[in-house]
Amino acid sequence: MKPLLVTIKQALATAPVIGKRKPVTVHYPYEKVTLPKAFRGQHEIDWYKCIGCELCAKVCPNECIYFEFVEVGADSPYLLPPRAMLDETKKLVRRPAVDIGHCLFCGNCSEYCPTDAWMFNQEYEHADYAREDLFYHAKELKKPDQSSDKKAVLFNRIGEEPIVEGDVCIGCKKCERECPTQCINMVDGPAERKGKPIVVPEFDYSKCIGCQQCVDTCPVDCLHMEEVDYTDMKGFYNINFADQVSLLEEDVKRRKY
Amino acid sequence: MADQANIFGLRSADFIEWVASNMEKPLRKGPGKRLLQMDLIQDFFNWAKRNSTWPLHFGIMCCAIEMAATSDPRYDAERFGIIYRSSPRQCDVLLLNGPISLKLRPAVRRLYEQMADPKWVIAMGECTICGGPYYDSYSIVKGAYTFVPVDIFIPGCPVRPEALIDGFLKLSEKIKHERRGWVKTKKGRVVSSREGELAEFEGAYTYEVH
Repeated sequence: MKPLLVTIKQALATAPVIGKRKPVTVHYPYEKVTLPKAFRGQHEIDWYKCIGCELCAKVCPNECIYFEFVEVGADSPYLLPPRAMLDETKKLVRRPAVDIGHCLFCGNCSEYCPTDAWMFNQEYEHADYAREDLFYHAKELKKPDQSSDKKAVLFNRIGEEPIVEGDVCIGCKKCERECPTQCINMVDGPAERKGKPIVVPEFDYSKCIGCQQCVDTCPVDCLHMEEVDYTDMKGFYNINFADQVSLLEEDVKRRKY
Repeated sequence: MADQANIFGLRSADFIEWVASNMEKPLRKGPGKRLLQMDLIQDFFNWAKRNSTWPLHFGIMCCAIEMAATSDPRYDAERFGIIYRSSPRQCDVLLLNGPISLKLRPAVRRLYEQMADPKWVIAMGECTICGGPYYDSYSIVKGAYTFVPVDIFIPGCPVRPEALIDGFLKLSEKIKHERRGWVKTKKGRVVSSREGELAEFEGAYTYEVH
């Protein structure tokens, strides 16, 4: 008798009028599930904040981030922070493009971004008819200018800093040119050439973001990255820690069935 | 004259040949020919096709969990006629979900060939689209489109259940415009809507990143 009563109770609980429980089905194309705040959907890049340091491409486990050169006008706001990586003409900026069909959506790019330029919005309907259309160019991933708060932050999230071997350096000044934050200052080094001392880079570690551009561009491999510090996620822009975070179990308990 | 073959003992290619010669040919020759060519009848079949996209219940890796979640009561996929069948003979859609290893590739190709026409292929998740995190691996095929004609690509890792439903809805959109011949992608590019082919535009069908 008892199992029958339990069955009847369950049946009544889910009945449309008598029961208190609402139907569980989400009518998807018409109504959508509210996703968590930190859900990672489509990538979005704030062009005001991005400095083109290519750190996201370096930390990407799938190597699906490609950097594109975008030509902008001489008075473009994207050039305005003098940290924009430029050539001599000062009209090119580097901005990331993503092959969505290859992306793991792990959020490493957003986590390590020194300027909080990477965002993920809630868009997840990426389904498409052709493979080519899953490659999103830099301009297609650009965040609308109005929604940017244009607040500049620089933060070394990777916890690594470049170290120079002074006696190997040939003083070519490539790192100084490549540095997106201009934290390199060339000073006289220990080695000499034709009676004059060779310049070696000196790093201003308060400005360094650990993007490894100098290490990549160095022709004689005299630079290497060294782990200096564990950096916590304090001040991390993309996930709002000020809000109350509740576990799933607590959330389920709070619901009234 | 229909020869009384032992159709249960036939191989798949012979079976298709037998069906074509003994069932389809007389149907197209007889009075049914004009009926089949009528727009209204074709539209009716099109409507039936796009509202009963039955995928093959074939889980390869973790995206199969999302495939299961799609048919649970929360995201009730049967609302759109997405009913999982266990035999390729009963299916319209080959739903690939996961990295396809070199060892699995002939099996997947065989499943595709066992399915009755019309048939479509959905590549779900990045592993199926291009190898995903195993893109460097010696044993993983770099994309399902290299050996079966994929109609819908659903990126994501894993794909959300809603995104999978969205993929199926886009597939039915493609079937709907089959007679028109073209369909627009999310970016507004025009591609072919015929099953298993893309319109000839600049660039090859296979896509290799840089």
